[in-house]
Amino acid sequence: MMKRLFTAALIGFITVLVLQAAGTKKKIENFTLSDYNNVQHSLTDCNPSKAIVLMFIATQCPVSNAYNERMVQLYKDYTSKGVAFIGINSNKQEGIDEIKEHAQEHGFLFPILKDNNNTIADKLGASVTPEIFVLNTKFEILYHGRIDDSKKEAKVSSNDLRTALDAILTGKPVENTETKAFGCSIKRVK
Amino acid sequence: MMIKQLLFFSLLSTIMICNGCKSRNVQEVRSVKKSGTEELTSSDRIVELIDRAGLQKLIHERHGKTLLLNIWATWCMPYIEEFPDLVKLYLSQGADTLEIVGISVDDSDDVESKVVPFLEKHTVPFKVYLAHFVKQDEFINSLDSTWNGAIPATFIYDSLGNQRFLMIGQSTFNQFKYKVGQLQTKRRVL
Repeated sequence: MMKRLFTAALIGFITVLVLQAAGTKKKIENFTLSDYNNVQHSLTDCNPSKAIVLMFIATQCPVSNAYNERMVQLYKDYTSKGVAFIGINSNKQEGIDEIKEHAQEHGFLFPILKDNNNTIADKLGASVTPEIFVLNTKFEILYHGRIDDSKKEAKVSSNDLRTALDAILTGKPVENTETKAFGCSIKRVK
Repeated sequence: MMIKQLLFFSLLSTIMICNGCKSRNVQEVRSVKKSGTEELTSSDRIVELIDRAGLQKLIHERHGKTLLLNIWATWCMPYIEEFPDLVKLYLSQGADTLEIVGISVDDSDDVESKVVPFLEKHTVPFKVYLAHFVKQDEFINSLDSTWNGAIPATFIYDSLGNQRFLMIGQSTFNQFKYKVGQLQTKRRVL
């Protein structure tokens, strides 16, 4: 009898720990970076957005470039719904002029911030392009990972970022909070 | 549903075709064969597919050799720059104590147009496979759940098949040599 009670208590204790761990969201601090026009942007500027999408992107990475049109479409589809988009370039070899030219060429309407010394990439643990972080108004990470599951748009079977945003906008929990995909590693300052 | 069925049968036929191929020199550059009836000629090049079971077999059947598993893609510029250092490592170490294997994560549609031309142009001296997993996450997590898919990535296993190092991003000959040397020195001491 005592053994059963002990087992039940142990299971209950472990369950509580697991639930607590599951409910804890990683939070990031506000940061400020300059865009390619030397205009400063902070996360706090995005409020009162319903969600903030941080996109680590690149000018030279073929995977990131394969998503240029999809990023533009995401911006168009979700900005009107109250979602803020910020592009971040942390690659050491991609300078301001190159980032500006790339953004203009591909019609990026969202700001692209230059993350000198990959400070923000290090803080968030971003290591690949494209890599997405979706935050709520408290800057808690609700989704981290890929835009979708294929570099080739015709082969996409799982629109992970859209699914996450749709859940957030309808007040539901994001089901798949972490996804992975192949991408170019961010070239960091050594 | 129709698309899923077509994809399934396309995948199945590719597997059947590859299973039917004759055994060939392991250092030969190969391409996935798409139509199945004609006999292979000496000019045919085949890139073998590797799935979860094949990957586990490769890692654990060590025969006393250290394994350097390099994950790459033709679209990955750092890999193109890293590649000569891998060849240099292969040539300097020999195949007695070190096995070098490349796994391409290129899209299967790009094998004929990109992977095979790359392998033929560079006369790759070590074995190369094409990752054959339904989902990218599955491949990534089957190697290391802490890896988020940034490539190039190099996994180094000791002679017992235990993962000892994960090198994310472009590495150099000296970095490869140092890591491999650490394992081989320990073995000599033991």
